[in-house]
Amino acid sequence: MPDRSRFPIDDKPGPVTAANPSRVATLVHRLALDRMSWVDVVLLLIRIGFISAVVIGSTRTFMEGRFSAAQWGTLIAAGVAQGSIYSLIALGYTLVYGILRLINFAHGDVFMFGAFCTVFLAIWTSQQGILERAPAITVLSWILFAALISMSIAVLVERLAYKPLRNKPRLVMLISAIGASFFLQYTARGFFSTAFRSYPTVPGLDGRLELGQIAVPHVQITVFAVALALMAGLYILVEKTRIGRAMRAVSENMETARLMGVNIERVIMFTFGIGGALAGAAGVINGLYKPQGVSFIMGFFPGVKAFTAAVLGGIGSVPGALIGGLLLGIFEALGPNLVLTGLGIPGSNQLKDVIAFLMLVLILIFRPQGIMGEAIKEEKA
Amino acid sequence: MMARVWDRLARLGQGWGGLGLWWLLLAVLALYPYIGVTHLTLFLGSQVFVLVILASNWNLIGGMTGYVDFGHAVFFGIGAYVMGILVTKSPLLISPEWGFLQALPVSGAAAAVFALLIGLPTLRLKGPYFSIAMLGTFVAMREIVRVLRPLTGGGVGLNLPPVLNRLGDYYLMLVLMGLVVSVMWWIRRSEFGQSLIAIREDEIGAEMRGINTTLHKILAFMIAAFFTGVVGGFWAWQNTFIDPDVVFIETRTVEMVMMSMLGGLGTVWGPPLGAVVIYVLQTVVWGRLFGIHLLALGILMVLLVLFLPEGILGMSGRGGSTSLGRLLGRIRKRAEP
Repeated sequence: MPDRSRFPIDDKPGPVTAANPSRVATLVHRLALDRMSWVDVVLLLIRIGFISAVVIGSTRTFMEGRFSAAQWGTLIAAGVAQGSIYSLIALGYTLVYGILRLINFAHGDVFMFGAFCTVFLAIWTSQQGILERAPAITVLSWILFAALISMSIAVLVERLAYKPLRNKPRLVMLISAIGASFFLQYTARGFFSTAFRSYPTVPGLDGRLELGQIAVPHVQITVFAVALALMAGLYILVEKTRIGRAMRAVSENMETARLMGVNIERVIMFTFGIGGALAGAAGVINGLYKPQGVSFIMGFFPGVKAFTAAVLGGIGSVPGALIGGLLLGIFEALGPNLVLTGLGIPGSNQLKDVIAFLMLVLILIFRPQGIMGEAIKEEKA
Repeated sequence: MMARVWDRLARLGQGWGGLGLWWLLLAVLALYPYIGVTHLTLFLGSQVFVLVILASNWNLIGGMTGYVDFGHAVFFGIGAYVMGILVTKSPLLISPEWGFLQALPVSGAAAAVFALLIGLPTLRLKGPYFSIAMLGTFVAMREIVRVLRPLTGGGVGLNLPPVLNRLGDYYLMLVLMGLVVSVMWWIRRSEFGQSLIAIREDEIGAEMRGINTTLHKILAFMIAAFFTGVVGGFWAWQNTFIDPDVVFIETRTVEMVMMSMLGGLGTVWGPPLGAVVIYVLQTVVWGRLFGIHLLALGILMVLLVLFLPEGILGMSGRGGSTSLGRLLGRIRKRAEP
């Protein structure tokens, strides 16, 4: 620690000596620049670089007037729909993190398993004509089925891959999680082969709703509404029920909760189950939104993106997951068109995924506590 | 008795005897092509050496320093693409055969520079967050390579000139493997390596003792990235075709983790041993199971973490945290009066 008295805050200018440093030195000290290491300088440069890229890119896009207001509106609507799917998956990460401080790496594959198993039910109902007769109830049954499947998978993974490691370092659990993720992927591949499958089109979802100038497809509204309903259900569960209170108690302080008679193992299992069920439901509404591309590898990207959303919102926080997911969806929809085209980068829409992953890395480095969460701490990580 | 032999071996491995045995093994392997082998066995040999190098390098950052890197294959990919671009697009290279040897250190250096750039921000992250950030870097790099079409050929990939020199490949990788493992042996004994282990055990404590943790982490990361990049360049050359999906593949990182863990995290001889074991398993056992071997990889990984977290070389029972290790420890205690 430098001697404070050597840096008088309001001093008259005098001769510059070791005992009486110049105003510049005082300023440097007050801005904490003298305690800056070269790593901090590099980080500052990265920060400045990214902020200026975003600002320059978006101003240039607006100056050129490439897109109309209605087009921006359409993009945002698509972003909200996609983002609400991310939110649902992100809730699984955030709930488990809140209780175990564990990143459940296999969560993306829990999502995949639900979506993949349900695609067969969906195709069957479509072939039998059940879907045509009662679309709403059929889709609801898909969601229930997928939630059930994913819930069982999540609980199984917890029992087999995480529970035996409860007192080991978190990194050991993370490696186990990667193993579980691989196991799920290749089990799905073994059961259902490598072929890509698609969800059938649901009647009544192909229209558009005209909101002023913006035409919003029905499917986007449905996706958003279902996600919102599920999240409201989760909110009630966490805030109003007995088991929800137990969950909150365990995430606050596991030891105290145990002493108070909360059955920790039951709460953990329940948490994994709820997270899994939400992921399964997300799998179905993802199938409504993007029917194609259901395969054994489909879980990876949504999984990592939902994790990004959870970190963005503040991992461990339930409203954070909701906000983070929506924001990530909107950034992903707007980012390429707003920033990258302005910077003159070709193929900007293909770089959508890069934006998400760059955001993940940048948030982890610069704002690990996210928008409204606790800071990621070493002893918790 | 067994346990005592095991301890004696472990002590030997850390001393000069371990290095001597290693060079002896290298000498035997160097003579191997002269006892009548086919192109195929030479090819397989160089593949095993590649795995040993990859595992040892991952172990430097993941095992010794304790930063579990889930995106280490990004350095492999960068090495492969630098090699591909230099060999196919650069007019500086005289002949393909020489061009390869010129480009090889460059691909390693490119990976090391990237490690410096990405390590500065990401090595500040702790535990799982470093792992996730590196995974994100890995996937982002794959997409960037896919989009940079004029340079990397995009999704179509690059075709390198096919030059078949199995004997040369074998010796090149043999020398590189000998070098890498010797470097690891030296690091493990040196003050540098001790500092890395101190960082793994207690980073704040290490900082308090006056270790420049940032510098040590970055250096370890860059060394690990350099050799991984060189191997990536070699792989591109040997495979003669690269595209984003064959180069940037998650299984490669997972294999590195597995091999290090199976052998013993943080040990010098564990990762090479793990690499050989996994390779034998893959070719002999899983080769007959078609697509299921990746499933088996996942199961093996979970089983490893559950029952053998200290690896084969960590089994001696000194740690005593695994059931198998405890058992061995008990046997040892009974053997010693």
